[in-house]
Amino acid sequence: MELKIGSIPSFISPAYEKRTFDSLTLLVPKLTSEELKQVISHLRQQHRKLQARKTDEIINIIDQAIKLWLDPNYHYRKLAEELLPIVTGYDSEMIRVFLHSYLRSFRKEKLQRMLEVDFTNPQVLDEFRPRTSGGLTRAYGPDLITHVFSGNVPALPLWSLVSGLLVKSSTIGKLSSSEPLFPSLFVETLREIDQELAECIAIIWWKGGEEELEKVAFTSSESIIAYGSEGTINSIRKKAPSHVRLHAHGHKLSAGFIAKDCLQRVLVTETARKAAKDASQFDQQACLSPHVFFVEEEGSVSVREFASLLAQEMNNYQVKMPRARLTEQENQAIIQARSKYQFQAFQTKEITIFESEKSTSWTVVYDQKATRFPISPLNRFVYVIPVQSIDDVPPFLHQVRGFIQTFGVACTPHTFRSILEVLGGCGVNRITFLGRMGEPEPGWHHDGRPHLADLVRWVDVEASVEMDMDAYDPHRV
Amino acid sequence: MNYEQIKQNILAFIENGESDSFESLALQVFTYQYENNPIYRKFCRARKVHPSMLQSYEQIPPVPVGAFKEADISCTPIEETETYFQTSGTTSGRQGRNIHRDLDVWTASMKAHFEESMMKEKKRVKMAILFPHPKEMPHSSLAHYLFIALRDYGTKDSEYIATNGDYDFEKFVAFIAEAEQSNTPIYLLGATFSFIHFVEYMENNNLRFQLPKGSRVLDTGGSKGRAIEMSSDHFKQMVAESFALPKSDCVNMYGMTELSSQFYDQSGEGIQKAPNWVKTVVINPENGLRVQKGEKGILVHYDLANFHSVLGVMTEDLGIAENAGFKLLGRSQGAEAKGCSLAVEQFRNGVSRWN
Repeated sequence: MELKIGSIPSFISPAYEKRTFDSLTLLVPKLTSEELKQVISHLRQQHRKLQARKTDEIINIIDQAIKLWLDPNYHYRKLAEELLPIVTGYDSEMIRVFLHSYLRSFRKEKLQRMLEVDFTNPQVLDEFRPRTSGGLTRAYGPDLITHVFSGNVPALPLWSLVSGLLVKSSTIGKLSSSEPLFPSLFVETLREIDQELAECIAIIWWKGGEEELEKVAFTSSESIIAYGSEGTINSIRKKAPSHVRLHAHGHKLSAGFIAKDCLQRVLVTETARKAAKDASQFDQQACLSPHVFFVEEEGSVSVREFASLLAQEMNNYQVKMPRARLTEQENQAIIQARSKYQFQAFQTKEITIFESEKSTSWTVVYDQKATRFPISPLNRFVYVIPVQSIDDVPPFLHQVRGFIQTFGVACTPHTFRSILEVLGGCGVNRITFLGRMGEPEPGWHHDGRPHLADLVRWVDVEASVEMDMDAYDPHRV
Repeated sequence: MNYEQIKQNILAFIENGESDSFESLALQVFTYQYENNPIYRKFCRARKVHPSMLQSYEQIPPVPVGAFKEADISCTPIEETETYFQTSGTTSGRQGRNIHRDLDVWTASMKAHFEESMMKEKKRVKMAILFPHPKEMPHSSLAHYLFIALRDYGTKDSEYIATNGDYDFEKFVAFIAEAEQSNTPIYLLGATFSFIHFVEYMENNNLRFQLPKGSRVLDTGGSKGRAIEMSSDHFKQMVAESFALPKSDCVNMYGMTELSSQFYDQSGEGIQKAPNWVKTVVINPENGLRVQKGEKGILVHYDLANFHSVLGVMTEDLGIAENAGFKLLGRSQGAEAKGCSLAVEQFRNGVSRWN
């Protein structure tokens, strides 16, 4: 099967490059720098129209698009469900379940909440509004944002795409080579609903690091939102002129904490199931996937027993939603990490390794000796470290400060506040209950920063204008 | 079977080995290792493998190279052994070691395959070694390898070019110039990266050489992770041009501390030929099963000479099986993950094969 994707103004007919995923070939538009300049000038014209629209209108259009996507019979939803497993290698059921819950985070109420979280009065995006301290103020989004999308979790680019639209910015979306499909389909939905809005968006592809195109895109944009490895981010930072704001989401580490009260006999299986979900969802490829669970000792089952229960649940998840097939390198990383712990386990009782038989599908390493935050080779490989209490966790987090993002916690009402205080002080910026690590709520501060408020620039009109202009009013008395 | 018997059987096989007895000797060696190597026995038990169950050497559980960093995987306690060879351990800082109760089999293996691959004329050759002497690096298997090459196959006027961790390129130039003048064939042996540095030195000093007929270059280790990286094809081309040698006389040797035998690529096509006491199997790392013929996968070497530790070693190298050897496709550098994690950076850093 062959499918043309991307989204570019109709007056351009660019070359397409083939991206092959097993039986599927996606044709992605690869512009020349001249064509990209034309696209940018088109986006700038369209931006004026977008700027004149009300934020509520934009919310309504996105809401309509989400309503369509939430219908399992919607043609693009069906196409995405059919093709995303081929493109990403992820299990189709996992994708289906995820899309359903994920897309709901972009409904009208959720989008409104995103705005309310960041702006005391979201109307500042539409017009100059009075400030309580006097004068007026208005928030302008960038005229043009270049988004460097990531491909580790399907549909993830929707976060930044929607953010840009909410602050009325035109969009250049640079597709990821590993998942170029979803953003393209979603923009087509917008086009079905509102051609004018879709004209503010160009979805294209180039190979990361391509000098000329990146130079054109980055220097023409007011902001860049980029996801990727440290290398990718650094290379963008070097190329972006200093006046262009870079919102970088580099690679991050996440983890979990399980309080001993959550290991009660009746609940422990449920706790293990939740932990297995977090460590298995999207094969641990997301920033918010846990590398390790810190588990409190002296619960009604030992931490080692918990690790074994977690292993069983990892296996159950594997039966229901098998992991993607891996490259030799990825498999190799798992084999080497396993053998490292296995040979240690032969020499000490403080380490136990649980692993899927005759496959690399999942691995749980119980490591009582650990003194460093363990970094997983990913693809459903997770560590369990016993601790006396939450107070044992900070030394692990200090080593990876600046990289730590989400914590999934399992706790009771009695302990939750002390846990939050400790984690918050260590640089964690998102805390969820266990089992929900993969699904951030709308309005979250991604990597600890405001989503929309970070994008805008403010224009303040001081009270003096209001006061002093009256002196020049020809109708003054 | 006891130590001496196993050792004699292997030595006999190396001397006049008939390939069809590889299988039975491999199973004998495995049984010996299972009985005498306690940590390997645990490894086999975890895989539910017992010597009595096996029909083929391919069923022998191979140990991933990384495991050598975690434990002494040896049939003899370290106190009772003659020596050990150590890996460099550049990333993790941990070094692995391969323990040798004595070096009789290691040396026999090295010599037999070196003679076959490099010494067809059966005459001593003048050699230059671009690598430290074992006195400086007593636990480097490569230093030891090159030392034996020089001691047993080099003429008296052969030389070490490296001393105290530094290369004396002026001395090396004089060595080559002398050979050119007297039209004496020479062998230049050393680490890949040292040749890269020397060619750079030649360029900077406008030097050109034409080595006498019968001369050869042998490099090993590759350039991955070094200041200048280049493919093995590119390297061979460069060396052949720099010394005016046919590419077939630029030999690449593949070896690793965790094994006791070497492979040679003389084809110029990246095909590494094994001696007949080594069999290479290409597996799919996902399930550990052998891949279809011609498919790429992870290389597992079964080396009878490695009887002091383990017969089967699972490498981090990608390759395709070829007759009596394999085609090396490069080192699998760990997870080139699409994932959002530091693991990518962490695992990208390989450990150089030799020290």
